[in-house]
Amino acid sequence: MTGPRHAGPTPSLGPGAVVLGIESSCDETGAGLVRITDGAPELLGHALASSSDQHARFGGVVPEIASRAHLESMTGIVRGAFDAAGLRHADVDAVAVTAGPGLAGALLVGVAAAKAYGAAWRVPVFGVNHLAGHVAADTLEHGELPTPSLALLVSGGHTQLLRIDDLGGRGPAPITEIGTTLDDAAGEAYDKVARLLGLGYPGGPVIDRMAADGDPAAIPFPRGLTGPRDLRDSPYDFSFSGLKTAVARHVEGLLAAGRPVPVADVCASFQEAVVDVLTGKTVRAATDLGIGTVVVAGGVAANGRLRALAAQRCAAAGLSLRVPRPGLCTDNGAMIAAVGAHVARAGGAPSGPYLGGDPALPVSTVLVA
Amino acid sequence: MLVLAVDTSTPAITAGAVTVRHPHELVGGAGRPVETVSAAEVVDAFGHAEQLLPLVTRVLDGAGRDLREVDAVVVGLGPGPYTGLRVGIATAQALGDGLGVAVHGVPGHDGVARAVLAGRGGTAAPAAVPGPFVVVTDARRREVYLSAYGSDGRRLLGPQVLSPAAVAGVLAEHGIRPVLAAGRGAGLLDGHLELPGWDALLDLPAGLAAAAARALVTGAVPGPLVPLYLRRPDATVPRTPIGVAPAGAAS
Ligand SMILES: [Zn+2]
Repeated sequence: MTGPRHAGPTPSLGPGAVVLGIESSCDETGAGLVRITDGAPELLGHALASSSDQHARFGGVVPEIASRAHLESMTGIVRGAFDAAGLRHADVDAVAVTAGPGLAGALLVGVAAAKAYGAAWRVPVFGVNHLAGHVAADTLEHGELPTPSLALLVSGGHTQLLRIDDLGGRGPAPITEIGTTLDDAAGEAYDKVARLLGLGYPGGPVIDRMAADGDPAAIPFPRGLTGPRDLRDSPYDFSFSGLKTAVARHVEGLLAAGRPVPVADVCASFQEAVVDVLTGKTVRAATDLGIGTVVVAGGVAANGRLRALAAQRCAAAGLSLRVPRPGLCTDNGAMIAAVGAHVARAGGAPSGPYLGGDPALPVSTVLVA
Repeated sequence: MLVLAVDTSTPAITAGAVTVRHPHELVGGAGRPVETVSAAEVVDAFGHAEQLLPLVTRVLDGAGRDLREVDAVVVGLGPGPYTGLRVGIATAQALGDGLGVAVHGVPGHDGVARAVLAGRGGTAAPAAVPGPFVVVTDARRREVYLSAYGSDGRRLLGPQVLSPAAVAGVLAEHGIRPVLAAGRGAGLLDGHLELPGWDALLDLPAGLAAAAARALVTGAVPGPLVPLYLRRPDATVPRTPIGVAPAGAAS
């Protein structure tokens, strides 16, 4: 190629610069605008569309349906973000986009749009990590994150404990995975149990709501990977498939005996088993690693019981806890703009013109070259 | 006007800088109504998102023009394999939004058809193909996307998705007796329907711009960019599970 990709004046990416973030890795199409400041990025406005309703009858996200919806929503959602922020296209100094991990076909809609906006406006494009975005979302609300911090990332697709050293992506290991689920993600377990109980999709909100009327101690569901050997070999890993099976067996047993299923108690007891393991392992990891700040992020972080138990246990352990407000927990464009702001301020090089999507992008890669 | 034409409905990722002239600009025989200034393609079945924008940059560089000089964008709406197809449309609509210019979508086969006619008789006089012809592209899963056009460029059939073995029957049913097959998937009819292929190098960007030329020169408001998927998403509704929810529980 001849000449620089971004001719014209070099954009300033210091304080004051505005970053547009674009998200399309799963079933939410998001766009958000943030301003780089001397501290944490400032949220200016964002807009979101979800294809969740279209997936409901399938009991999970259908990639092709999600990808079609992204294409239909993208420019309208970008316009929505500008309207929400009261900004014009000319105000943007950089574009950040989720380059992975996520659904391959879904990612490409956002990447293609981001590259086109970047070229049209002659501003740099940063392909960034979706998981870093969930953590960065918290900085929009609670300011700069002390480092290192420990992040519990819980969503329909992910359940991970991450050590956060630099959201700007500098150094060989800006984000390190400490633990992960060996089978289902926590959100996936919610969806499967909700389906089992005929409660619809997505499972998280409905189970949280039903659980409010149930007894969390009614049924002693198993806590995955918490036996003595598990705690020695996989102290920070998770497993939820055994729990899901235990719920199914319990319900089938009741039905076979012709007894009514106490749905609220099942929901409360299931939720307690999930949340107990999530918070227990998180506090243990923070304590073992000597990390004083815990961030809980991702779609499941909107769960009321998870927030409450995390607060209780972190307080008991002397840990400082940060959880973004529910609207910033689920996938959105503002969180991607926030990562963009961090990497741009850290002097990260814009992604190359051949940027694509990487469905399996490792969490250690905050910024894609 | 300077038109950027892109198409990602086949493995041949295509971009072109095309001049489209208003009728009054043609007085005195100066230039042609649709004329490609610079065009290029990259064949990469799974690299649409990576390759398209660098290709656009290269094509505009080749034309000595800047993206900001583009007056309108034309994009092929397919049919085509979904992931690649969406890249072209997502790129075109974001370029249009970002540049503040109109984006016109045209069926990709119409672009091929206009290019075939232009190759024979020039874009201004598309009447020299001796009979109807078909445009065929690869739909994967052992199927093809098919459209048929009259020698005047009018679309007679399609686009539709069907097996190569079914093409002859469908054409006969509609009384269409094609004299040639064009498009990236024309070879997929081998063994099913023997037609001379169109082997001249197709100028797809010019064909796409020609298909949108009337809308471009009249400044028509573009319609929505609806991709021609021609298939429903693969998805099955799961069997109803145990179903223990008491009445009203799922409210
Ligand atoms: Zn997410």
